[in-house]
Amino acid sequence: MTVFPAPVALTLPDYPTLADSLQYQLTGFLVVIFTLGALAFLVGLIGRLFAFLDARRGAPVPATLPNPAPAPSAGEISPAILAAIAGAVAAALGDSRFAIRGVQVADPRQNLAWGAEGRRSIYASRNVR
Amino acid sequence: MNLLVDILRDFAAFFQLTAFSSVTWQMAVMWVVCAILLYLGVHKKFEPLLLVPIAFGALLANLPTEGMITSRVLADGLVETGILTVQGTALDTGGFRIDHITGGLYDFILQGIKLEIFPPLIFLGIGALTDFGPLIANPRTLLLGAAAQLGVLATFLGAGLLGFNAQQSASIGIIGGADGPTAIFLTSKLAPELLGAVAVAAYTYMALVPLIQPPIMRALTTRKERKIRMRSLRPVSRLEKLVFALLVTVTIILLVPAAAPLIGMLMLGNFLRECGVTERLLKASQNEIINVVTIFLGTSVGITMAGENFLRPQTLLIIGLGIVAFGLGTAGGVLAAKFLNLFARHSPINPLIGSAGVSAVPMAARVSQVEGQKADPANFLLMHAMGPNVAGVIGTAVLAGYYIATLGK
Repeated sequence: MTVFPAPVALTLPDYPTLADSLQYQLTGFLVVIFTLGALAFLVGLIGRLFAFLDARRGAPVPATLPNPAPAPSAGEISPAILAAIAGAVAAALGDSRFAIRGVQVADPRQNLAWGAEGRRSIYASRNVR
Repeated sequence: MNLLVDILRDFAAFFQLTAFSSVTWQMAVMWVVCAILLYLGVHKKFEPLLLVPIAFGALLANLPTEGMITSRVLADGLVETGILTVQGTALDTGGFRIDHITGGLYDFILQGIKLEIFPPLIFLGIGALTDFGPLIANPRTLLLGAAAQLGVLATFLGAGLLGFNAQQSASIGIIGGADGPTAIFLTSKLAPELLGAVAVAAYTYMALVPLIQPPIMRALTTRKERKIRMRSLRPVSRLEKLVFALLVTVTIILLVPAAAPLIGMLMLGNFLRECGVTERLLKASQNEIINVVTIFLGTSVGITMAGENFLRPQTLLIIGLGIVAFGLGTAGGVLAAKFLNLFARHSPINPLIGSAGVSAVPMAARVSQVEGQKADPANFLLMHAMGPNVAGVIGTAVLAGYYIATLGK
């Protein structure tokens, strides 16, 4: 009967030799690769399953796509954006009556600033470690 | 005249009641160290949420305080802190009744580290703050998070060659995981005498990620590779995210049970986030719990930094090895991405996102984004890099579980 030596990972002395350390670390690396690899495989599998289920119960794709709304020219606000702005104002004012008399495109530099502020606040809230 | 002499005598006697005579040279040196840490945290904004409490805790550890913490000098010259004195009565039934527990404020709070309670609670908050969507949409990036652990493994070998024992080497190597709570969790379990040095090195280097990583990333990639545009990530449904949280919990705890406190709490926090029906618990995890625990964790780590423990040559070695661990981890992630590209030519990975596998969420992902835009200003890698970034958190926790399972006594 073949007797296998005890695994280095379970018998590592306090001051191991370089060879033992190397074997121990390669085993550890294999553990991490195997664990995360197995997880990647399972997550990928479940992702395919969800995609399959979505495809089965998803809305049928129309044979011909509706004509896209004409793109607004530079400086013009599209009806969809106007509707969104009106909805936001209605939500903020509650029952009050209001009328939107005009909408102007903000300075692009301010747009960038708002985007940057959003990212900054997300980073700041997560920067905990 | 006699009155003046009496007053001066009383005044001199009062000074015998003060703590000046208890100040040692180690304390004085540590005040300078604390000042440097406070400068880095406050002025340079290096991980201030952790460095400021750590530095203040270290200051308290190096003042002759009363009622704050109990310490005693061990035979090897190290100082043990956080000692509770328990008085009680032995019962006839064989049990023991606790009558009184004596200790300073931080003798009690420090139990949060000694009993390994604080790091998993921090992981609860991290899970509640983390969106695993990019990782789920591109599960290959889990392998990048695994490959970035190369730095931890290689540094273990280096620490061993420099004379550290196996438990200490594991604690030093884990700095390369760029994951503070995991580093503290593992070190408090395997080598508590190194806790202060390991925590300071880990958090300082995490703050220096934007300086440490870019040269390594550029050295290991060509300009053409840095310009690779990755496919847009597919949207991930809420149900898929919930399944992911459960899947990670079950899979990792079955494979590496010792990682359960970290992974279990990480995924509990994430489940609270994604389930959509526990808004109050989610907000508590994202704000109050993580903030309160961060204060206690930071100051508790600092209060272990008594001068006798910190002012040793091995602290410099730990800080030196820490940067090696970070560098090798970065290289491991980048090289792994290049390796994966050999098998996925139809959907290549930009190697710059590999470096984000060293955790340091989200700073390492931001570095990938910045470096990618230097090569191609219209290339947006941030969300792609978040995949390996959060995979690194899982990978480091798994590796810590391996060390605890095999080296823990």
